[in-house]
Amino acid sequence: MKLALLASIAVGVTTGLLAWRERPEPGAVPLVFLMAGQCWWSATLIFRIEATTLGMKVLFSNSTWLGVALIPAAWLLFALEYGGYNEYTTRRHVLLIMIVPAITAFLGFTDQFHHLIYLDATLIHQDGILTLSRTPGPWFWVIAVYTYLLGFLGLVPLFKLITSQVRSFRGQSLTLLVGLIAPWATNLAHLSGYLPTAGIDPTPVAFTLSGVAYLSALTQFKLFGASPTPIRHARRSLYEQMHQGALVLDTHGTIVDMNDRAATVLGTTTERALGESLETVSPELTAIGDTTQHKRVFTPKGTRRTYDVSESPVTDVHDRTIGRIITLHDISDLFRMQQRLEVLHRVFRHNIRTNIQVILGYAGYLATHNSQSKAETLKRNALEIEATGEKVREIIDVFEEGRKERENLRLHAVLRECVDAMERRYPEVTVEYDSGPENLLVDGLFDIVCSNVIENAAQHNTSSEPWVRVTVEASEETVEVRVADNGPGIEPHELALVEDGTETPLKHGSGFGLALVVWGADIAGGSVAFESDAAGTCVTLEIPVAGRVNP
Amino acid sequence: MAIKPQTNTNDSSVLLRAVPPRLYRLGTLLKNFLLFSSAYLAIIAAAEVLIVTELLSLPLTPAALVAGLLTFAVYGNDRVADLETDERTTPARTAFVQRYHRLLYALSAAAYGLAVALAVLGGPAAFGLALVPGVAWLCYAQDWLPSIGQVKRLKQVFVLNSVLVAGAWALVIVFLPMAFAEGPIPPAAGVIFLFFFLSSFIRVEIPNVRDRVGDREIGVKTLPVVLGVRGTRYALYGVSGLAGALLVTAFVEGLLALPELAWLLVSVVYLAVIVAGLGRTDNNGGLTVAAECSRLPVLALVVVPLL
Repeated sequence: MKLALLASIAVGVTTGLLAWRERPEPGAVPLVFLMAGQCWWSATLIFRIEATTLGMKVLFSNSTWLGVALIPAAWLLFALEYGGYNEYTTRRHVLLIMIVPAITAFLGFTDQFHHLIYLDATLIHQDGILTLSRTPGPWFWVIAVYTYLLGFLGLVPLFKLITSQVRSFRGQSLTLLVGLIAPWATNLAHLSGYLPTAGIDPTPVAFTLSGVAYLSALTQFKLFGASPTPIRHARRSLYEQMHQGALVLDTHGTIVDMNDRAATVLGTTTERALGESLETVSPELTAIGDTTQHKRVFTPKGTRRTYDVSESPVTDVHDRTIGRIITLHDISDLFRMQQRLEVLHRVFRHNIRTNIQVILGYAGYLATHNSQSKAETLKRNALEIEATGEKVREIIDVFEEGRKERENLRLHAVLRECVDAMERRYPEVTVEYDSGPENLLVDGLFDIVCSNVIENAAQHNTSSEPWVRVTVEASEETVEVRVADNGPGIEPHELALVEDGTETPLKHGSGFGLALVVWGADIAGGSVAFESDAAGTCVTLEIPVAGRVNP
Repeated sequence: MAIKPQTNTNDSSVLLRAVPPRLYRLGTLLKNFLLFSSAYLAIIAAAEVLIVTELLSLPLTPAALVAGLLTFAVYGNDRVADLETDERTTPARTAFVQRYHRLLYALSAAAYGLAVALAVLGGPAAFGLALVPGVAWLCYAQDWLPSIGQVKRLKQVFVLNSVLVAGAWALVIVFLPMAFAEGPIPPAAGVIFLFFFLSSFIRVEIPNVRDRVGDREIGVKTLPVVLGVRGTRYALYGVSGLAGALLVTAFVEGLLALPELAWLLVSVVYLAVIVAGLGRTDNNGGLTVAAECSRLPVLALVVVPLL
């Protein structure tokens, strides 16, 4: 037995040192303590066997508890860290797990004063050996139950890995199981009285086998070289950090899990939504889920974001559907771009077709009649086609700019240039310009946006005394540019074209300039508001301040 | 340019050509292993235990083997741990350790495991003593209390670093054979311990002359870093003198017999001669090995006559 105990110490210390080198790999430090506990138990057992007096035997028997109590705690912490259950290995949890071992070690060293671990201690001759005979006290059974309980808990992460697809994890977990079961079975056999060991608990002898098992796990199966620890966390992280919103529903439509992104999309929090039915949290999304449409698009109330909704069933091992996963993929940009292209297509086709029909009709007329007015109309329509083409080119430019890194421009310089250009082109229009702060920087795309707003105000102003007023008002993060005029106002259907998400079927499309303003501002992160009636129009551009320059 | 063995015509190469290549490679590997893994230090440590066993008239026990294994384990581990910092001062050793670092660490761990298991045979005191070098090494080389923040590696603390190393080894070398013998502590034990402590201190500081540039860079304060080479030489003369005075006092007090005094004084003089070479020769590596072998004359004087 002594030889086996010595072997267990040699293997235990070696394994402990090899594990120590692997810090801070998860499980390395608890494995060191596990080995330390085993070695301490083996060493004190040798000292106890070698001791010749009752006092010395009792002393070593009592001090054994330091190692005995350390083993289950270290085992559980090792298994939890190794299996990736790090949320249970925080300092608080470690302290909690260590309470019983600490009490046990203290009671072990002070047993002669209270006899909570052993009720008595006598020397007896058994099988020709002088051994210590002790009757277990109440705390002996407490720590025994605690040891077995923690041993079982530690098995949970290992059992999960036995069926792992990774071969080395299977090997690791199997060898670790051998490492646990060998001393466990020995201890059970001893407690049941099946082992003729003259009353000596031979559990440490089995530590030789468990030490070899841990050593094999370390060297043969790269215990800390290929670690399953991240698996659980990776799955959770993948779920939490994915760009898509994801909800898990049970068969009753109750939200049983969701990531933060999904909570943001639905305008709620995970704390509030979990356990609630989807219908309560988002009736709109439920309605989409019930439709049989091929394309399922969800736009949360009060937002301009658009999500593609997809649903997949969750099945168990028997292929039974036990729930479903709903994912919300943000397609706002694509969706908006698609809408814009549709509008462009419609408007462009409509305008060109109208102009061409006029041109064709009047060209036929001019072939037989000489009419100055018809020729003028024909020419005007041809110019309108050219203007439409020019505007479309500008819009395409804006879309292209939207995909690029843009430089910031001084808002004052942009507005000054627009106002000057307008004064040159429309000298009959009276212009008022209140520049506001001159040090503001804005996205370069607002150059096109502002010039279109200001030009539109002058171009369509049919008042007898036309005027345009440009004012600027800045706050900390945004700046408002107001362009007011006394023109005839904008036709409601043209405003609808740009204000209602552009999906309204177009009746007449002269609103390319407006579309360019709205889309350009949107792409650059700003917004546009129109107030229009027969007395005039006020366009308000809200522009984010990109920076400030020193005057 | 490297000289090819077959084209070299000097005497040694002619001699080497007579050795079968495989044997030659094996011999070189063994020599490198002994030197670079510090296995020779393990042999010296075992020799020191034998010296103590003889000086204190103790029975022969496995203590020498345990001390040897502990020394091999701790130095082997230290070589692996200090790979980066040793690269400049001991490039050949670093290259060897780098190549075999896994094997060396595994052998060190196994050696420590075996040492602790054997120490258990010597009883609780021997078991405790076997843990001393490991704990001392942890305090010396590792940032093992990072959460406290203020605690530095003791390797960086001036004088304390060498005191810790010398103290730990002196404790093991002197008291391990006594623990195995399980008898009363002889009166001379204290003197022998102090002697081993002082001479170990000198032996620890001598290699620091070679390592002073690297030590300065990583913030390790040793005698050569703080006092310079000349200052170190004088300081170590002082420690040698102290060791000599201790031995003479012990002799006067009757704790040491004349032959023992003579044997140990030989060791002190040997060390003092090596100290005298500090700063006067470029072969600091040679001085280091010579200092580490300073017990061998005593071993020859004490143990060989017994055989």
